Amino acid sequence: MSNSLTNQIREEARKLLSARKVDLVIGYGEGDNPMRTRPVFVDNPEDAGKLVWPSFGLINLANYLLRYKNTLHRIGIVAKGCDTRSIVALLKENQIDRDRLFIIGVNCPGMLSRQVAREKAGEIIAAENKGETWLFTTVEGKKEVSCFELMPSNCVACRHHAPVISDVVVGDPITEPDGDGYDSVREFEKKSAPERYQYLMSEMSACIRCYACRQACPTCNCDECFVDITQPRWVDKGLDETDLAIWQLIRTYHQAGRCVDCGACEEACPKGIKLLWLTRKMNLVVKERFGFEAGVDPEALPPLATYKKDDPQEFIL
Amino acid sequence: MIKLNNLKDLYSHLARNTPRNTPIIGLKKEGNRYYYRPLKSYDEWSSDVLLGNFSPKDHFFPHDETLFYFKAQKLIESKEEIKPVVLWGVRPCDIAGIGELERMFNQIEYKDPYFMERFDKTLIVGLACTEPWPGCFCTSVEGSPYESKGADIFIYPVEGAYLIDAVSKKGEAAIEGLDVEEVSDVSQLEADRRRAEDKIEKYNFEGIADKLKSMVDSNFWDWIHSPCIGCGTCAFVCPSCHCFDINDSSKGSRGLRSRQWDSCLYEGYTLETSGHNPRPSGSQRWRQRLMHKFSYFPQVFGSYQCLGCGRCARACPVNINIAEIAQKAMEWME
Repeated sequence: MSNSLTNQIREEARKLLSARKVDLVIGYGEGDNPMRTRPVFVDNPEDAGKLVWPSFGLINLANYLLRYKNTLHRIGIVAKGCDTRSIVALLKENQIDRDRLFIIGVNCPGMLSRQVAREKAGEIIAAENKGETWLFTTVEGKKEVSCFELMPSNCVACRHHAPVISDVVVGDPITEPDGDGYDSVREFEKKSAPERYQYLMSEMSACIRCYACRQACPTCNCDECFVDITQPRWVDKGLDETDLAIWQLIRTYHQAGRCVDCGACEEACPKGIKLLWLTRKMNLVVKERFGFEAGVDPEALPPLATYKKDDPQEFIL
Repeated sequence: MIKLNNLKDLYSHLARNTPRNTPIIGLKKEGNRYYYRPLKSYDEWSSDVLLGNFSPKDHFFPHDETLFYFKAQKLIESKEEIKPVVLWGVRPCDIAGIGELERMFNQIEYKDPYFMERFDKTLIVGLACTEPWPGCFCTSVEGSPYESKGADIFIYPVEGAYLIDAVSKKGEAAIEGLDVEEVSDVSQLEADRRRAEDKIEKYNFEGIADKLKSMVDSNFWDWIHSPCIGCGTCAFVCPSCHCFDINDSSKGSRGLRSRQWDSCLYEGYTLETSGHNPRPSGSQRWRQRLMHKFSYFPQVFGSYQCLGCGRCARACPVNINIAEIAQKAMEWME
């Protein structure tokens, strides 16, 4: 938890609520242990102290804006770089109104991941922050891991730490790293097709169809998801490997030009499936073919919402 | 009660004295999580992990289970033969969870043959929790880290050894022939139990069934539902959640009917064919979840349907903690 960012967020929220510019502020709050974060909905300036800037905050708060689609609420929202990209994407798809939104953008230094912590340290019973490191009590004993090592793949790949859209920005600007962040995907592409197939199928077959990935994602906002439709039935409901792969593949396709790589899906998965391999590959395809990255340019139309004569179409048979 | 210096002796005895190829299912590390899986040997058992990331309910009530096949108008029973198994090293909360499932699936009017056959053919070997985890709250829901009820055999780790109790007739038969002398003085266990219970966070849920009943129209539900994203993770990791959905899948005239785990927090859970949904909002769905566990179940069956394992709070993407919520309900004033 960063004290400086926490204080700035609280101050902005307090000002907004006191001036009655918004009805509520959606932000991060403390969970039941230092590694846990809960979304909080603050509607009173006196409760602004409930807001924090978390260490483990891979929840995309833009998800909650969809609840207010058909209400009159004026909403303040604490948004890291990727959350603001989601907000842009939702605005483009007419899911929310800009004039009812006040965005407290945060220059996000990156988040830590509980999934990565589990990979690095094992089954964690208790955790303690030691500044630049975390000390974990695990079933196999004590382990100390640096914050840098606890970053999820999406924060490592991130090149949009600054909010792309905001009404006020908190935190110091962050220098974007070199490269486009897709090196890990290109590295994966070098593997042989059977190797890639085997890896992806082993990940997909672990799915238990709880739909936490879909529910954690602001972009997965269809009124009725194709897996829930029973007439006609697009995919069977059980745990057959093919059905699991179809669910994950179609979810990925539906994210084309829309996924902002916030990592909320992967962090929410109770089985720890590497979902971002699929969506990040899709993001790279969209970037290379259409020069588009979701939610980065508030003016640009998403590729699925537009047509240009010179759109690449060699992949259409 | 008998005393063993090496727990492997009990494991080996059970492996030898059960019908050939009886799987012993215990916690096993797979990837970086722990699941109840058939163990190839005693050494494969993750003895130092308290709780699996998922409960053992999958073994009695599989996540995806074929009920029967059909061909044109003809029904063909599911041919899968259910064999006896040993469920090894199950903690008291999970054993209580199995008990709650049994209450549900073994009623006078309705008996679930699929569940019951598995239940009857399972030997449950329980294990006391000497070191409960943060987030455990079994003692607030009538449980205890040393509760042996529901197990066939129960293991109490003591200084450098293990006390083994045959709780049921089935358990007695299973340890018969284990050539160890009886231990008469087990007074130490009472102190051990208190020591373990003291490590567990306490909540006061006394009178919660009635309190919740008075809160049907409360705005409490809007408040607790607000962070929930409506995924089914809590229900899937829960040892006692037992709701399922039934589906047919067919090709031409052949097909099968199966059931899969479901969750009351899904929007489609109560969606009717007409398109009407009696629980259209997240707050109504959360009211169902909390009331089912802390009000309806206690009223009908006389016990909570939450066993205090804390898995839901640990697995929840937004850290909703059912114990905290139930406590908040107790304190809630309109």
